[in-house]
Amino acid sequence: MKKSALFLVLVLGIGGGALFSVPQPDRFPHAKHAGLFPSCEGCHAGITSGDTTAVYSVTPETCAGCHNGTVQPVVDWAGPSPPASNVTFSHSKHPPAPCALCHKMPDAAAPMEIQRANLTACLTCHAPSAEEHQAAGVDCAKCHQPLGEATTLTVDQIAMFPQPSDHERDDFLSMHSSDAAENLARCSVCHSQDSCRRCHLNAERITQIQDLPRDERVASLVANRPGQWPAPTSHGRFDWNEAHGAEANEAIATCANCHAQPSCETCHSDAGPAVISELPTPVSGGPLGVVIAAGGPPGHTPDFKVQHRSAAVAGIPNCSTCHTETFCADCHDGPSSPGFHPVNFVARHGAEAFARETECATCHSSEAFCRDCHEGIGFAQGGRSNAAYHDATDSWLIGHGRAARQNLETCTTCHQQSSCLRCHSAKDGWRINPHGPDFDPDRVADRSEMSCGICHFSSQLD
Amino acid sequence: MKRRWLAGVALALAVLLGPECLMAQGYRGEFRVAGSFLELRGLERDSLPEGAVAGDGVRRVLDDGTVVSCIPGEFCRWFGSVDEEESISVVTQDLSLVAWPGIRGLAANVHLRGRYGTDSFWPRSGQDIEAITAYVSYDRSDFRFRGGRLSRTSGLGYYNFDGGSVLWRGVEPLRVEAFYGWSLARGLNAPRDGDLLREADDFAPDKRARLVGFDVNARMGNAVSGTFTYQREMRTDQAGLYTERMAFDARALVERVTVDFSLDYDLAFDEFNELQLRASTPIAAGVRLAGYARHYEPYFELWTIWGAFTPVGYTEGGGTVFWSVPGTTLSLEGGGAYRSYEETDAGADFLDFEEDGWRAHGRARWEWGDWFTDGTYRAERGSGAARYGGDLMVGYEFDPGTYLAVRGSSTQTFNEFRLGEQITSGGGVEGAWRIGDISLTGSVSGYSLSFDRARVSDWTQTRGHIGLAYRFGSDMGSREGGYR
Repeated sequence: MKKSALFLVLVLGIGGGALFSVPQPDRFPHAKHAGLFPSCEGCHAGITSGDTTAVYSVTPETCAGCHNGTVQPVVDWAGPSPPASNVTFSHSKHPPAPCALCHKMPDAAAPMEIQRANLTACLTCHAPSAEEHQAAGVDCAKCHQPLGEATTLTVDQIAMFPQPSDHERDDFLSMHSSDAAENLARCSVCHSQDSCRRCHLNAERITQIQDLPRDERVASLVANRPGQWPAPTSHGRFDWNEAHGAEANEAIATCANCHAQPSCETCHSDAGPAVISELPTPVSGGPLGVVIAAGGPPGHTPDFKVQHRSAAVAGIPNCSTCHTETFCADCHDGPSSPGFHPVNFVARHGAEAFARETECATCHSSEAFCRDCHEGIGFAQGGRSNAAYHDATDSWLIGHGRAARQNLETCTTCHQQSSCLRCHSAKDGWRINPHGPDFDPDRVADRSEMSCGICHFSSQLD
Repeated sequence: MKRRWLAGVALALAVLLGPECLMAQGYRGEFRVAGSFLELRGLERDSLPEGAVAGDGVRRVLDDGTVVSCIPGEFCRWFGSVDEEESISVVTQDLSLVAWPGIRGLAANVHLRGRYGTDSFWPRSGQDIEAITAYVSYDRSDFRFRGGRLSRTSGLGYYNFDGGSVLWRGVEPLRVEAFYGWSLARGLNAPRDGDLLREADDFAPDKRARLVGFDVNARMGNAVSGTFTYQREMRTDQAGLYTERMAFDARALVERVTVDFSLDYDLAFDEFNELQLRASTPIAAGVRLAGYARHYEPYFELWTIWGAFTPVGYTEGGGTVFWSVPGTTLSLEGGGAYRSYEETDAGADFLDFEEDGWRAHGRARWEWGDWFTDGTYRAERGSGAARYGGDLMVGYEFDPGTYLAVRGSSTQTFNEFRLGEQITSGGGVEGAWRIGDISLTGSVSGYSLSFDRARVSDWTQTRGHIGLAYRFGSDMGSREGGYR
């Protein structure tokens, strides 16, 4: 019984801080005094009686009875001091048990070879399925105070808190909200609201976070530590760019755990989806949330350079979010920004020019750009029409109509109107009618009778 | 009297705007210099008296293999290359500046370009200074006013004009913008009655044009948006129109599919110049598929006769697959398209011209560490011309924006209406260097252009490019990490 009492004393005297591995410089060398104290109750009578004032009944004066310099050397032992602890264990509230049950060293050969409380003994009742003290299923709050109530713990001691094994799961950060909702008391043993505010821009809106108190000690520990926002598995879906809008509309509160409005504004303009306004905005000194690097929005496929018309004109996405207006002029307004065409395009642009995958005239004047060059280099001889250049067939003049109607834009890059009017005018020359079957002269004349007059006398138009 | 009037305007502005004045002042700008050097060897027409060339008919062959075209009783002509290579340098300076004077909503934009080239046959290489844009913008909550030399981007293309525009966005989700002014020729940034067109065409317009039109943009939720544009350009003497067109563009995000629709319609010739439906969607991890159907028909302004020649267009369908291989830095792209031309109702049927066309391309890009490589192959065949060839670049990136690379390319070109085959091969070194707000770019390359026909000599040539860009000023209104 005495041994049991001694062990019980040690639970309070030493084991109280056991969870946190706090050094105990004033720890009493029990093994050296094994023969002197036959039972634990001799020194720790209050353990069994429940008298908290008598937990430690040994004083320095007691020691001096032997350590007086004659019988034994004088020792400088000031007596036990209550350890800083957040343990709520009370011997009196637990069924009586031998001290050795919790405090005996596993390989102890003598009665007083003791240690801090063996926590597996606690688990036999409090978490019977757990294999270790910090296992996922163990409810910390059963034996530990909320951090806010453990006022004796220092910042350094809090910093040394061990991490429960479930916190090491890869998906812990993504999934911890359900753990907090189920058992916030467990979280509160180690965390204050400040822990959550390190990452959560929406801390003000989450009940569990608001239920935790603020704590300056924790605040000092997390200050200047960047937030962590691991990408949930959903974000790795191949269609996430397209799908994220619907999910945001459905559960914007979830997005707000990691994202502030600037996350969205990297791609969405100020006139973007209204749901963005429901996200928090960063505050000075607070977390920024996930920072999304500017990149191509979903529609910016690699061929966007030549396929951006609808996106730019219809305004999804809004180009001005990322581009200034001079960005358009870089390509559309001339040659100052190399890079639109592949290198050496001048020597190989023929096929693209005929095919008109993009309309050359959007940026280049057929007359003052293309023809100017073609005349200069000699492809076009002042626009004169002769078959010497088109020598792939000896019947070019007879057959050129089909080629011309298919590629008239390209013809105009060498030929002036006067080239064709030598034959295709109603005023003189061969008077060959160039109009196709779908030509509507009245429609054209309504808008510009002058253009008809290039080939026709006014009398011919009546 | 004039001073009082000015003072009154100033006072009115101060009363209207004063309390909200003096928001942040600032400016942002960019200065760029780009210089290019290239060599080209031209063609010249040569001839012999028809009687001096043996044979009959229009098409004959000289002893050295030169194909000539003969007109009985006149001459036999052909095109051969000139002896001397011509060197061309094109230098441009651009200054773009936007400034906020401190009055909320007020901003001034200017983009000036100076040209300092050799003024040879390379277009727009003569010495000239022009204002690409120069306008004042005043932006209030429901309205935006702009005046000066403006640029407009719409479904009808990119137009610059001298005038003003008013944007109204008072009722969501509508945005309506009206514009009016003196138009500038598309692709020229100069009046139609100016020297540039007059020197290029005997029938160039003799009058400027007034541009008038409007845009209406509407959104349905966040996933559908469309813009309708109408504009016409009238001669300033009211004698007729140069253009009358309209366009409609829409984009819809339907589930995972991005759908684009665009059309532009020429009211003068009752033709759809562009009609396109395009869709793209991710179909698997890293894989995106895009496909389109398109009808294209060329568009000509009414000061030309070309529209009356009833040009025909083509209908095309195509698709592209993009694949960013998961877990790697390899990205692949492949695609193709097929087009078929409309019936021309012209010419001689016995001539065998192409009536359809196709193109295919493939691209691969791979990065390993700071090294990267980028290869492209493209094949295109259709009415008028065909080409087959590719490029390969291997480079090393020292820092973002700073790299050095070597590049090679080879292309085989055929012209349907001209005998012969051209092979262009070459390569060079290129690089970029970013030092703070300054970016330097440069390249040197050499090409060999060879033709398999007589009297067209080797076109081996060198090319060079050097550029400098410097950004300065504050960064009002733009977000960190965004594109310029």
